[in-house]
Amino acid sequence: MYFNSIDFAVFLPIVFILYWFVTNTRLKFQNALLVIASYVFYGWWDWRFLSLIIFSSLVDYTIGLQLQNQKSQSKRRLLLWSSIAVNLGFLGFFKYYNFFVDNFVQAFSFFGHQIKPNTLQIILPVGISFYTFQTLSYTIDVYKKQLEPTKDLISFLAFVSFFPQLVAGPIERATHLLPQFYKRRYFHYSKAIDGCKQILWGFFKKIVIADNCAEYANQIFNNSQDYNGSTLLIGALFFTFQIYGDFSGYSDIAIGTSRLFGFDLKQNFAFPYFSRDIAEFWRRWHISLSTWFRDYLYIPLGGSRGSTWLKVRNTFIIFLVSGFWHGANWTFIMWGFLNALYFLPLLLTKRNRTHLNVVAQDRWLPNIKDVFSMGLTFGLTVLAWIFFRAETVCHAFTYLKEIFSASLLSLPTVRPFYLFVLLLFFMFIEWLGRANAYAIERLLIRKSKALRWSFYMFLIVLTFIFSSQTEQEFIYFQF
Amino acid sequence: MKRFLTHIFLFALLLFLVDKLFCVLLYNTAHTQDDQRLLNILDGQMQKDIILLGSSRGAHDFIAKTIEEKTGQSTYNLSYRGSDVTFHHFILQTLINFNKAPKTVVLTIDQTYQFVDTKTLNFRYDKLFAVKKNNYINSILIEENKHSYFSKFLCLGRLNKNDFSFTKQPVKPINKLSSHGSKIFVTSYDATMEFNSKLTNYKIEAENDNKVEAFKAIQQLCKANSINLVYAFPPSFEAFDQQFYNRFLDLVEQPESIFVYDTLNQDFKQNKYFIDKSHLNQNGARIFTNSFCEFLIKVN
Repeated sequence: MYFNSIDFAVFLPIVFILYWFVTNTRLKFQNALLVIASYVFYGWWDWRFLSLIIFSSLVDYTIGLQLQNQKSQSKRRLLLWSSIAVNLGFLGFFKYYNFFVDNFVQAFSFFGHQIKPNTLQIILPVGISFYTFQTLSYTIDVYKKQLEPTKDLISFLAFVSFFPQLVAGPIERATHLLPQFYKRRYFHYSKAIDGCKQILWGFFKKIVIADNCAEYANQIFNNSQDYNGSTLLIGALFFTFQIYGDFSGYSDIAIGTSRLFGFDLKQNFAFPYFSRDIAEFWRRWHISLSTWFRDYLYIPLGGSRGSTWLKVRNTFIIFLVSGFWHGANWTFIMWGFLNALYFLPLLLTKRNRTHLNVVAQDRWLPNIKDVFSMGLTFGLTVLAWIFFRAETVCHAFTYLKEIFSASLLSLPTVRPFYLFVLLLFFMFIEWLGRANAYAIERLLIRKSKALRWSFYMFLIVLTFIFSSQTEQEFIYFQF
Repeated sequence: MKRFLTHIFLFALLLFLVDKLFCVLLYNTAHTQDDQRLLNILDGQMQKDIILLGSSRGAHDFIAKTIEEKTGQSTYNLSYRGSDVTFHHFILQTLINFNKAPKTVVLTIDQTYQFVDTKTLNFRYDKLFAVKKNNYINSILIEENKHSYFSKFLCLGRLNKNDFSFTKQPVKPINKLSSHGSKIFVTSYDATMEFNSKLTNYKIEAENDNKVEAFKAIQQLCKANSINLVYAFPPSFEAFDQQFYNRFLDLVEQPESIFVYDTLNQDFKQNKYFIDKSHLNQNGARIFTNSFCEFLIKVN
């Protein structure tokens, strides 16, 4: 079920009413309702893949309990690796099987051996990369004794399948989300209103910004050979805003929806396009994934401790794995590689934690240095997104070659004026709210209710008017 | 909770009221269109004896006014450039829903392209968007996933950014409608154009099932409403596709109602009667319409 569908518009109020008016007498009932609702939400897309989530949940639930009872370190390690093998096994099979087979075939043919590929028609289960990492975090935390394993199966099933963030995150940690299922939830007016506002802003980002940018980004990327350098640059810019609007919009809707049910999810995007260097960008972009990799991969590998070689190795590992997590294509790996290259100089010169605060805090405008830093970081990010969006690595290089040709100085042939205005408006609002959890969290909070409501109404009107003729899928559903 | 629900209700009510202000834009969109034919159909103002359906070949090759004069029956051309048979079915269905059924429907056949997918012949959703204020049209757009379900009760759900243009778009001469709905090209022609006598292989497997079904549905619709259905093959500046014609005969219930242009007529092998390989100019349309009228009078 997509958030931007009529199905969800019907589904959400029904679950909300049942949750607060029917099952509110007992916590177990509320959790059970969330499990059922989550399975309906997921099964709406393809009910067959529910078995994967249920199986994965049961495996980790059982392993978690056994980890608690097991004193032998070697057996504990075996249990942990069993969980990793099952979870990553599913992920590897559904997401990467054909990629590896194709690449083996190509490698063999390069050396003169022709082998018949045995690829399968595999459907990628929606959200598998997200819930796999979520369940894995539980087992790893229990293994590390950072979390008590749960004996409450319903709560655990609800934690793994919690519908607002099931298919595209944020990837929640068991230490943060699971305990919320143990405690009775109470309805808070301010929390619910805040949730509604965040949902509204999420829809605006998705429908107005991402979907409208997608229209032109797709047109330009899919026919890149027909356009001059300046138009290709515009196409890359549109994709930059498309992916941000799409993914952060989804996160906002997920977080806002969770708040309607009394849950707090972690912030997933913190205005990444106002970052002053790449290290800051990665602290602000897809935070739940970055911190997952940091805690469960980078730090166990040694992190930024040790020799320069180890630092370089660990940086490349984490960025390449992050790229590969996004999809079974060399373009994503190249995207990760490029970001590692951007990040490395900062790490080696120990300037990767220079910008921990909000840009131009307590000021209206940034200073010249900040403007330059933000512009440079944004420019580097746009270049990296070209690899992310391109069909092949070769396509990305051809695209870049045309951008850096003399045709960059010619007039772009695609100039949707209305979209430039919308993007300016969007970035203006984001700038105003950059110190908050989401852009409109505290916007006009001290003004009259009439003015606030008028602004929300204005956003809704824009969302309707600039909505695409057909429902657009969220980009991150494919990861 | 009570406060939350009250505020949500009030906000929804306010949105509903604000929404109504935007309804005026829907009316504006419908009336800034040059082509008002679909709007007239929906308003029940298309009470004609003979209706012509088809794509650009139907629009350009038939002079509806001539047909009206020769047969003595009111005639109107409801052919849309770039439309396919699924769209012709939609037009006929809508026409019957909102008007008295015509006595005769002339369906222009696009020869080789009638049942296969081409970039140039499609269901003309743009024509529906122009009259989306109409609930019947909106329901179709919802069914086809072109509008969200919200559009059933919110005007905003039917609007998009294109509706904020308040000026009439200039009409290209090629789209200029005559008083009877035809779009007649002036007498210009391409003197370098040569007759294509190459025969092509028609492939049934390339057909789109939806188009074949729509064609059958048109026949059923005419039968159910006692409409005399006439199939017309206007000339092209290329050899007649006999293979397609044989296939076409398999799908037609009344072969006696088929009118094929006179393939031996040397006029239709002269480029001065064509604007391009598929469309006649005014002089060509005049010759063709006259011969078609003779046939129509005979079968009626």
